[in-house]
Amino acid sequence: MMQLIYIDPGSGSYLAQVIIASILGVVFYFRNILAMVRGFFGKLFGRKDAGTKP
Amino acid sequence: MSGSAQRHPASYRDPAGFVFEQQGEVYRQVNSSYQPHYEHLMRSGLYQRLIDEKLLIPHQEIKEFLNSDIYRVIKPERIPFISYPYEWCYNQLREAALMTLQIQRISLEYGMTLKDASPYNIQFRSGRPIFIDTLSWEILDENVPWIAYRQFCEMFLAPLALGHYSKQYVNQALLAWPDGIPLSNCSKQLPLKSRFNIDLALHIHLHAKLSSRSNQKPHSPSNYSAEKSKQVVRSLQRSIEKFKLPIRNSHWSTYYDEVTLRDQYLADKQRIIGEWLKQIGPMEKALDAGCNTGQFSLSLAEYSKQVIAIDSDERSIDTLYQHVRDSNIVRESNILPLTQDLSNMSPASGLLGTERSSFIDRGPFDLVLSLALIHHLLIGRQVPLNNCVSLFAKISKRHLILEFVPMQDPWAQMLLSAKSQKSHPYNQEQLEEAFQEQFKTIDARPIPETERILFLFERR
Repeated sequence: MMQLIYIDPGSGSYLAQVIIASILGVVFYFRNILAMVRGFFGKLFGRKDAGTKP
Repeated sequence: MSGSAQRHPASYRDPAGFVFEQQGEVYRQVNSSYQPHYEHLMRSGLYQRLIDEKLLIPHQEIKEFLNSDIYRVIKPERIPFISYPYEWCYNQLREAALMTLQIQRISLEYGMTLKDASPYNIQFRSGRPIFIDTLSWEILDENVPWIAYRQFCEMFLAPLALGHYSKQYVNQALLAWPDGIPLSNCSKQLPLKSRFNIDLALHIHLHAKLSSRSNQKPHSPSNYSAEKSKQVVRSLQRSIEKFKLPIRNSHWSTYYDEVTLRDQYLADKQRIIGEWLKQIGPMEKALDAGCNTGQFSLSLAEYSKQVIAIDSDERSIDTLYQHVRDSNIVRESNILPLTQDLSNMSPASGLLGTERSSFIDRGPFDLVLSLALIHHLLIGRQVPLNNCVSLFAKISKRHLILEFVPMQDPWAQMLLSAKSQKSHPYNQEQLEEAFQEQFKTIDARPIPETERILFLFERR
């Protein structure tokens, strides 16, 4: 625990952020695929608003 | 900085420069070390874009005070009244958070990044938040993650998430934790369902876990990219946009609804106060103490350049804030609603107790309006009459409009019945006599069909 106070709070959690951003990248990637699939089926069934959601 | 200039006590952290005051004017010194960043901010078009979108306080470059060590001195437009995040309601903090993210998103487009994400860099002006620290930008290094990420999570995301899930107001916790709510603490307090929200699962829960490991190397930039920075901002933005804290069901915010049966009572009060305000004329700074949802703050705004509307009930403040923010009436945007308990006002805090000033030090006010409040102090908080007089004398520079609520008033009786201890007894004569120490009575008018009396006092 003693070492904890030597982590500079100003460092902005670099390591944590690198990991979190990578996970977010994957999440965004799958969301985009999902949106594309929705858009495709939306067009297929003639729904006007389909595919507009991110 | 010349001899008579006073460096602001809160402006000591940033090596890029600092704020100082001279002859009542506020300036910001820009040190030579900050030159490349300042030039990029000004020349890339970022500064102009932020000004155009009313996100950053405009400034002028000043020729005075310059010497070889000082790169620039700027004079930002003045903020009429400084407030702190622990005095804001939920939506004030939420909007300040969204604005910070919007600024960061725009900054990334111009190859810059915010090096601070602190709510202390934001103030409220004309009913809306505005960023005040012109030296908060750095030239972006795409390989380096956002330096202010953790600060943003602890100072904005953590209190907002706690408020959203608990439906309780927690902003005042920022008084105890001026650097924000520690993530490990917030993570433990949030309910299980917050872990199923992908954004919070990452930014709070995983973030807390990862940063509690002591073996991380703080300054080892790895393969990061501008795209990743944008995704982090977008994800934070998405989670905060969904947050809300309903303002219904408050004891106080339904107060006016309850008294609609007494429409005439409010109209009489409005009429008498209107006459007095007309008689007093224009003023700089007024305080509506115990403003509720601000019906009378709106009248005050017609006469005062600046109205600070305070109430201990955060939900009332939230209701008033949303009204002011959406109002099309220019004068109404001069109202700044803040959470404040008159019997326990914000203390001075920070390094040497001078970094953030107390609420009292940010006064006194030309006029203090205290309607249907005195019985809460006398009975509810058991503050003796003489202490009430000292309190009002401390915050009022000239006038005080006070509504006297006698002990036999039904609302006073309600407070009394809830008290197990006996409170200090009071009546009209005692009140008048006590106030004579510090104030003289200009006018006293009974409110028809009630036993309440409105007093107009002036400081001796």
